Amino acid sequence: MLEDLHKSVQKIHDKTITEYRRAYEGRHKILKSMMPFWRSVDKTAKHIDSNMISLTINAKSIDTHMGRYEEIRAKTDKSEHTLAISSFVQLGISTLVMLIAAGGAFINFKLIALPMSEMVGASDYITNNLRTSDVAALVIVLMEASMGVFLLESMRITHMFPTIASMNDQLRKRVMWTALVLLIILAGIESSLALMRDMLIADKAAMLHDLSTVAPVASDSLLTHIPMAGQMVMGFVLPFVLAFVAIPLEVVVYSLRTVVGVVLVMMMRAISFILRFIAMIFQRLARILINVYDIVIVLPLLIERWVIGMRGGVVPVKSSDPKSRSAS
Amino acid sequence: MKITKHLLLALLLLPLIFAGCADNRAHSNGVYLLIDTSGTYAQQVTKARKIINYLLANLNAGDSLAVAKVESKSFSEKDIVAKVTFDRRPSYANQEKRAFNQKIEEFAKNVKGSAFTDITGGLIQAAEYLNEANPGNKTIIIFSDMQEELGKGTVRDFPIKLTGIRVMAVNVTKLSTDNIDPRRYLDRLSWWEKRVRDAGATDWFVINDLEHLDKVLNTQ
Repeated sequence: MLEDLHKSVQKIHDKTITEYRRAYEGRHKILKSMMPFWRSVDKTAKHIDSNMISLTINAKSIDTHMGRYEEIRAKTDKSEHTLAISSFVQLGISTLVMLIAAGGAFINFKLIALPMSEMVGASDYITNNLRTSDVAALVIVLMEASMGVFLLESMRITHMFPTIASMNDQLRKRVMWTALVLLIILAGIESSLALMRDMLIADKAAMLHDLSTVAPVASDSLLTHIPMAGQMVMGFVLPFVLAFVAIPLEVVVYSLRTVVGVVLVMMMRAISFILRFIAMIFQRLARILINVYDIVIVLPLLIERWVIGMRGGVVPVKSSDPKSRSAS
Repeated sequence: MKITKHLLLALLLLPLIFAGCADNRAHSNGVYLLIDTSGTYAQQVTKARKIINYLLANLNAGDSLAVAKVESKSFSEKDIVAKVTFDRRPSYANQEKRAFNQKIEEFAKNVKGSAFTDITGGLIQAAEYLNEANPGNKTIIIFSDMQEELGKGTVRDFPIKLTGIRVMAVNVTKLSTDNIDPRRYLDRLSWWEKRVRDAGATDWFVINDLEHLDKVLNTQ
């Protein structure tokens, strides 16, 4: 009987263990299937951690900006001074960059002015001193600059045109691609004009050699090709360099407002100081004049009194009496 | 909206207004070179090429140039050796300059001395050409010893018209008689100066040193 009991207990035990192991295996399977999820949770947690760190940094920055904004709102002298100085510095730096860009634009202009005369004629003038070819070259350079402005504006690097800034992304991208394609076309045109310039100069030099009795100087073909290649590369690159002028231009536009305001305030203060100073001088001069008049009038008054006294009359007290006026 | 439209219209019309203001011919140069081919002076033609080369090198697109010879009777289109108004495009103008130079080269090879020297006739022809071409700056260059010798029956003693034209005498060589009495040379130049100034010429120059040809175009 005990043997039977042992067998049945053993059977139950084996069964229970089997079930337990099966249940455990199932749980392990569930846990195993959850592994990618845990990994993603881990990754998300790390991401949250880095975000929280940047949030703390940003919060500090926002806090600083808010403090500055509050100062600006309160119109404190410190904030005004900081803003003005910042605008002056920005204007100075961007003006310097603009001047460098203007130099680039001038080189650009020189590069295409001569070949433009081949297109629009060298002897055509718009006004008495303005050649059509020069104006055409200038227009090309300005068009390149404006395409650059539109390109950077549509890339949201600058924010000068609210219309472009408020466009939906699809339309904005279209504008961006259009500006880029036009800029590339203009750069290509300029590069070919640079090549034409070199050819024109070479042609003129050859003609001068033909006219002169001196034999032409033998030239190394490589040496003559280097400036030509250089001009072509410059002609292609300069429009893109010029495109970046939009960034300092934006800074100039925005900082100039503040700078002009500050300069106007300073001018008004200077004018008010000068006017006050002049007013004070005139005020003092008027007092001096009154005193001088008093000194001068004393003698005729004394004579008048003396004459009236001689006649036996009474000396009348007039409102124009210098003593009474000076007393008042 | 209406203002914008008007502004756009004004901007579109602006080039037309500018174009109306500009006179393209006012900036152009017109040069007429008279080359004396009489007697021994014909040998000096090679020197005249130096002036022509200078002019070809310095005249621009749109300018006019004519070279004519001074012969016994020079008031004739037949005496014009070569004439050209350069194309507006510099590359074409260079080609025209080369062709012009070719013509002058041929003329220099086959030049023949004439019996008489009709400078006045040449001047009248030059003025006629320049007034027709109507450039902004008109110049007549006389490459001669300025000794006028007219053939029988040639009438030139009447006032001529050179209004608005600069006249310059170049390479005025001294004759053997001038060496005996220099006053003859000076009187000859004075006479010509009076004649061209009375005719209404704006300027009168004498250039004997061909190294100083910069005067030919620099005042324009």
